[in-house]
Amino acid sequence: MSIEESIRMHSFFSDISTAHMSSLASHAQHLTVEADNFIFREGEYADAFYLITYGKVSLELSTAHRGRIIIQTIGEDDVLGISWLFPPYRWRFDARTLTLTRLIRIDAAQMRRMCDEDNAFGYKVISKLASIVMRRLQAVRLQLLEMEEM
Amino acid sequence: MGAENYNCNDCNSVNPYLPRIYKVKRVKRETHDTFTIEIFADGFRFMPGQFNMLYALVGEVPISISSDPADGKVISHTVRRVGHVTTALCSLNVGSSIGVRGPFGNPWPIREQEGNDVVIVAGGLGLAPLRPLIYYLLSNRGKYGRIFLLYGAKTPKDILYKNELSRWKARFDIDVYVTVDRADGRWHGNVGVVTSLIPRVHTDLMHSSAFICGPEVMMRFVARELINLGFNDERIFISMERNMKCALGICGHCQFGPEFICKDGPVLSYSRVARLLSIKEV
Repeated sequence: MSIEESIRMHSFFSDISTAHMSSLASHAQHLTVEADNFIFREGEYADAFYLITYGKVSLELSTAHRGRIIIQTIGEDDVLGISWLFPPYRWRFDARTLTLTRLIRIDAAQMRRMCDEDNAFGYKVISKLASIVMRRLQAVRLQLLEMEEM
Repeated sequence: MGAENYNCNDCNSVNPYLPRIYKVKRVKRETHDTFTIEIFADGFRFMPGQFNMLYALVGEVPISISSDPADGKVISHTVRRVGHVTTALCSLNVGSSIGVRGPFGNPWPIREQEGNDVVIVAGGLGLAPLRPLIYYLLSNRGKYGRIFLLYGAKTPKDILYKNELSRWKARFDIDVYVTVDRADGRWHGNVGVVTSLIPRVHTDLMHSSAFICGPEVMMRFVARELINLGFNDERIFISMERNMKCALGICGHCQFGPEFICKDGPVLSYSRVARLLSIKEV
């Protein structure tokens, strides 16, 4: 499958225009990562935006006392990584594959450039990311409320 | 089964205030603080979603029935050890006597949903009152469309009925997804709240029903997500928990707005109680 087809099959970019697709595709690549490997580590430079097309990834934090703590798992058709959009562009968590995982890796600098140059495209990207962030924020709130209730 | 109440007229004892004495078959530890008490109760009939008042020497508590309604010989109750009575119940031995009043309350209206896709969402101990429903659905599999079970627990150690979840996962006629709120690196399953599993539900929205049980705030979030997805709130059912005493709708301990949870519930349609869920101290 071509990189264009893979990008269009992911719900995040299902409605992207042909012009944007060609700019994006030229800075994107398929990536396959075996189970139990890190895609990125906390503190590293956030130089890519990932779309998961297959598999499962855990976002986690390594701690001295409790070892690895899994914050959240994400999977097929999810988006991995938001820190590439906000300075200082550093990953806040480790991302580790739980199964064999296939992703599309898009260059973060190119994404930011496209967002800056075309505000309509940028607005669409930010809106979609904001809705993902909102869902994750609501999940955290539910988690906190449940902890109080239980 | 359905809207009709299964109260004292249908229960297995003549005087609804008087417990029947049964013998404990087995007490099975499910998690560090949760136990399933199996009781020899030949001929005991109940509907999925109903509860019994269980009497140990120090008092009585309402506990949902968690076994297969088709069994007819043994009934189970899954109990979390949180107070004097539940501690006494969890300490029972094989052959101990236990008092049972019931069954009480409105069951899950499952027969009315025949032909529909069914989504079951459980949080924590909320899987217990849903287990009889799952048994029923799987015994009558041909009468329903797709079936989804979404289950969320606090940690991997808090997951109930692990063997059964594995068995159900291995079947091709029910989609089972389990998630935990937090885990360490040894866990390879999903991490996130139970609502994070809802995007995996693909049903015919015009013909879908949902059954939810768990902490009240979780049930509200789940119901809201399902409504956003296109579910009809009249076909979303929740099981409520309140401080039930008489279990006959007389004493008023479990009053929830105009409803008595013991008699009108514990299963209620979300459309009927959604407004009440956000009112303080109702």
